[in-house]
This record gives sequence, structure tokens and C-alpha cells, in this order.
Amino acid sequence: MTKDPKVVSIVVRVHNDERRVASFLRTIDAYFAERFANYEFVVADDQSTDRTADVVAEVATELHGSLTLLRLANRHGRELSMVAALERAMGDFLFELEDVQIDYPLDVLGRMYDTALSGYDIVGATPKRLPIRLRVFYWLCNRLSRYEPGLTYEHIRVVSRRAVDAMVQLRERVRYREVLYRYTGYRQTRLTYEGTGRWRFAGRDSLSFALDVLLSFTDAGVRTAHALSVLFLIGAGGGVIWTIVRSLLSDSLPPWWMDIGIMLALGFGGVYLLLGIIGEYLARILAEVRSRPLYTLDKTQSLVVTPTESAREPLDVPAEDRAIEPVAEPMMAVQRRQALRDRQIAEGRDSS
Amino acid sequence: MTSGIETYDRLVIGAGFFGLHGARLFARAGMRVAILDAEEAPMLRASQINQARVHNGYHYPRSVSTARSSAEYYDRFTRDFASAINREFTQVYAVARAQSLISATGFLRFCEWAGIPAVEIEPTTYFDPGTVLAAYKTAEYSFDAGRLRHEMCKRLAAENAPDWYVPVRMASVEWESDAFVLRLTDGRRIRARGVLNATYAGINQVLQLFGVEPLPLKYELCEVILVTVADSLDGVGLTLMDGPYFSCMPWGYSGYHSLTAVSYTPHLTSHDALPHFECQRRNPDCNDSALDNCALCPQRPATAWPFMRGLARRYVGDRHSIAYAQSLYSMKTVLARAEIDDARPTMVEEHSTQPWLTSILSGKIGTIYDLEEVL
Repeated sequence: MTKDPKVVSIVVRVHNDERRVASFLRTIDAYFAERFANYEFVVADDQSTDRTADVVAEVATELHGSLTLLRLANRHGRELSMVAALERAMGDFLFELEDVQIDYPLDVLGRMYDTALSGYDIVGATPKRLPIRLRVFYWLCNRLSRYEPGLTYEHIRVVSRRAVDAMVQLRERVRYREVLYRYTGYRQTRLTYEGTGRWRFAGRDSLSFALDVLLSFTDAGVRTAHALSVLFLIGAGGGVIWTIVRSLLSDSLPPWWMDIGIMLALGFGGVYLLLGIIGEYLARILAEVRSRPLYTLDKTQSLVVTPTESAREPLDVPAEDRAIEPVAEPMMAVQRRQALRDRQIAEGRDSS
Repeated sequence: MTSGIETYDRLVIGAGFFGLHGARLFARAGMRVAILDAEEAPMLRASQINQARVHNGYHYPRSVSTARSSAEYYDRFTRDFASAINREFTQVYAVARAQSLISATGFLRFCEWAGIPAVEIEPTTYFDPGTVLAAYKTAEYSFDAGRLRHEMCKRLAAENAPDWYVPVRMASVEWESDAFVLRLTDGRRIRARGVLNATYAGINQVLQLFGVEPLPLKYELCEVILVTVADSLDGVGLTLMDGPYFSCMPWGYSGYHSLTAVSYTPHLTSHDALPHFECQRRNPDCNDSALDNCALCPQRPATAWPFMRGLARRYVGDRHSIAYAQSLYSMKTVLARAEIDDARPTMVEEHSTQPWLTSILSGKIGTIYDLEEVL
């Protein structure tokens, strides 16, 4: 099989992975060496405190592909580390592997790449079966958002150069690539594979990531605020009615009790309403600050520029647009004459 | 049986730049070569009617592999055909503010990866304020198709000069065990042990006659507008990246600039395996199995000058006056699958080894060296 001449990049983030990173690099390298003539690894070391970076440097010399190691100065988490590595990678297509854990059969990488070549800018892959906690999490995310198709666990992905360029141009701080890629407007699809590995729970990273996704990429916050303000508003209305009913039924209440009760209930009701409104404005300000693109284009096609029917009429170029010096002789006539002379030269009939 | 039929080692179909180069390589290897073309003389279609850009890679910010291979060949090509290369101008690339697929920093980073020079310059020298993010002075030249043809023909004459079959087309072909026997439209017959199909827009038409599976191609009927420019643009080429792309650059040594734009240069597109266009109904000499020369066709589309003028005005305003001189039309052909990364690889497909049949398709004149590896 001839090797694919395109430059591809394998982008991965590592963090305290000294025991796993060597076998990861070797396995992936062996697979890519068979398929690609030019490929590179871009490894973002998210401030590991163990020997991860040293191990990467040692293994790098054995690899067939080139390798760039980025050492981040602070711990930035998965998404931001990946941005750093993606901005560094130079491939025409990029493999985002994100993690050194290989829980997928290797041929899924090839399948993703082939799918991308067939016309998709973004090709993700997800295991057929997910652990229960991920299923619950993504079910919740999809209940609280309106992405089509829904979000799911997708930690390997093949992306075209233009999609990556568009995605990293979105400069929001809290990031979640699966959604950000949707704002690029490029065609995407998702493959599935039989998961092979064991699930590793990444602790603090995973929890803070889950919180980021819920707060920044679903409507969870705004929806909760709205629900609460409506709930409290209803409560306040109920409070007013209850105060009136209570004071009508009982005559042992102190004076002003009813007035104070109504005032309190109305006042709180107003505050809850106001909070709801403020929440809505905050959500809008947030949208402004994040400055996601106003629109996303798939592609622009000028299908017909000038109908050929119109060729029957003389070319309509206004006189003031025309070259001041008239065209002495149409270019094609000149070229034809010269081409005939050149042919004679080639035939050896003319030596001028 | 075969007496009275000329026999050749190699027949090159299509006397474009790639065909001529192929013929030269064969002749140099001591083979007996013939050239077949529907035109009376070489390089009268797409080899001549294009932007005349010698690609140095800047065009492919989404395909470093294409950029690198362009840049590699670029040096060799500009040295090899020095007399046909116009170096006397400044090529400026700019990144558009709206709808560009690449950012200004992205473009610089890409140039660094591809190993091609780019020096940032003040954009308002050439463009209206606010229309472009950044502008770069680059190293890229323009070739003169006429001089290129002249040079190539001189080199061909230096070898064992090939026989020319022009202006004629092939009508049918018979496969023999070690050769093809072609019948031409003028009734003559040729025997060839190998055929190089370098017909660009005609590639699938030729393959159809050979009974070979067509390649996945897309055809665009393109217009290159030749313009004259004011002194302010004399010796300057402008290329705007990357979404709403347009270009206005010197056209070889003609004294004209070529004006082209992604959205208006292709007038009509055909996604069929064979080029199929509505205008063919009105030209009896043109159909999807034999294309006529669009540059001379009475049914060619009206010029898109008003649109192109408008687009150029959006970016350069009225600071540089650009005046219409004439329009040239040709059929551009690209591989249908290169859409995502805009890669423009040279495609070489060997359909048969005995007898030998190979097709070559390239959109860039500087990549002729790909032929040497194959032949």
C-alpha cells in the first residue's frame, strides 16, 4: 500500500502519564508509520509533576514521525492544553487523541480519516457502550441544550485544517471543543466503535470539566434561574392570598398584620422577578463576551455567474471601464499565430 | 495488417504544457513519439488561459503538503524556464477581514511551516482601510505562456522531433496485446505501444474511448479577464485570501494584469464525469465527448467584468484604476474530491501497463516534474 502523502498531526495532552505515555506513542506511531509518509506528534504536557516529559523525550528518538513537546507553564486542564497543541500542529488533517489511554481499536483512526476525506471536516468517534455516569451526564446535557445531533462522549476526533483554524479563532476562555466545532459550521459526523479499554476516572479534571460543560455550553444556569424565579413568584402570589384569607378567618391577629404580610410578599415577589430579568440580561452579556460567530457558513457557491444566453448580446463593458489604449489585436489571434510558429520550431522546420 | 500504419513507442494526447513535457521526456529516452491535439498548434487552451501564477505554495493554507511540494518545484521551475518567468513585480498577499477562512497570524504561521517568505507590510498601501486584516510581501512570480511554449518547442526540436497529428481527434481505439491502434477523425490510423493522456479537460473523454473507468472530476468554465492597471499597480500583483478570494496580477510579459475571483471566474460548473454544459446545445462542434475551445467559442458566456470590478472595488476602492481589455475563457478541471483541504495534488493514474496507458492531471504548471518520477 502506498503511503498517504498528506501531512497529518496527532495531538495529545498528557498529565502525569509517565507509565502510559511510552506505550501510547509506540503503538500510535507503529500504526501511522504504515499509513502516512509525513506525520507528527504534538504533545502538550499539562505541567506533569512526574517524569512524563523525560519519557516522551526518550521515546521520541525511536519514532518514525516527528514529535513536538509543549510544556505548559501552569496547569491549564484538558481543553486549553489541547488548544495550545492544536495551534502548534501543522498537519492538513489533525487527529485529536486528547488522552494517552487507547480504549479504541486502532483501525478506527483510519476509518475516521477515510470518512474525513470523503467529505467531512470533523469526524468524531464514540464507544458503543458508555458507563452509566457518562450516560446520565450527557442525557442531562442534551435535556438542557438543543444541539443536533446531541452531545456525547467523544475523545478522539479527526479534524481538517480549516475547521481547526476556525475553532481556535473562537477565543472564549471556558472551552468545549465538541460544541465549538459546531460553531465553525463545517460538516461533521460521528462513528462508533467497540470500546476496548477500562474507564479511567480523571478525578478533579473530569469534575471541573463536567461543570464547565453544564454551565457554559448548556442552558442549565439560565433555565434554573428562570425556574426558580417563577417558583418564588408563584410563592409570593400565594403568600398574598394566604395573608388575606388568614386575616379574614381569624380576628385574633395583631393590627397591621395583613398589610405587612401583603407588603412583604409583594416585595419579595418583585425582587424575584427582578432577579430573573437580571439573570436574562447577564446571559445576554455573557453571549456578547464570548463573541461566538454571528453566523456559520457551510459553503458559498456561485452557481451561475452570467447565463450563456446573454452571450448573444455584445459584451456589456461600459466605455469608461475600457482600457484607454484600444486592444490592438485579440490575444487569441496573437497566440494562435505564435503557437503555429512554435509548432514548426518543434517539428524542426523553423530554426528562428 | 499493420503495414502502412505509423508505429510509435509513445503517443501523447494533448499538446498542453504537460503533454509537451511528457513528449520531450519520451523523446529524450530515445523513443519514437507522436503528439495528437484537437488544436492546430500547442498550448492554446488551459495551459495558456489561466492566472499565469507560478505557485509557490501561498495558495494552500489548508494543505501544508501541497504548499511544500509547490515550493519545492517552484525554485526548480523558475530556474529551468527563467526566460519565461516575469520576476519584475511585487506579489502582495492579503487576508480579508470578513469571511476569510484563515486569520492573519494563521497565514504567517502557515508560511513559516511551508518555508516560504512573507513580510508584513502596511495594508492601506494597496487596500482600503478596514477591508483586510494584514498584507504580506511574498516571493511569487508569473509565467508567460507564450514564452513557455516557445522554450518548450525549442527543447523538443533539440530531441528526436515528434510527429504531429493536428488538428485531429481520436475516433476509436483497439487494444492489442502490446499496442493500441487508434483511428483518427480524419481516417488515419496510428499504432502506439503506449499512450499518455494529458488532455486535462478531455481526460475522461479520452478514457471513455479507451473503455476505462472515468476519474472523479469537476469542470468549471472559467473566464480570465485581462485588464490594464494604473501606474500605482504597475509592477504589483494583489492576491486576496481566503474566502472572498480575488487576484489581480501581471499576466506574464503581456503588459496586462489578469483579474480573477473565486466567486466569478467559474461561470458554469459541471459535476458529471464528462463535461456537460448547457451552452453546448448551441455549438454543434462541442459536446460532452469532444470539447471545443472556449476561448474562441461564439457561445461563450458574457463577461463577468461588472461583478469582478465590483468585487475589486470593495477592497481597493477607487485608488487603483483597473480597466477592461479583453476576456479569455477556458475549461478548468479539478479532482472532485479535493474540497476539504483545497489540496491540488498532481494526479497520475496508470490504467494499464501492457500496452501502457497513463493519465495525468494537474492544475499547476510548476508541477511538471511529477512526470519525471512516473515516466
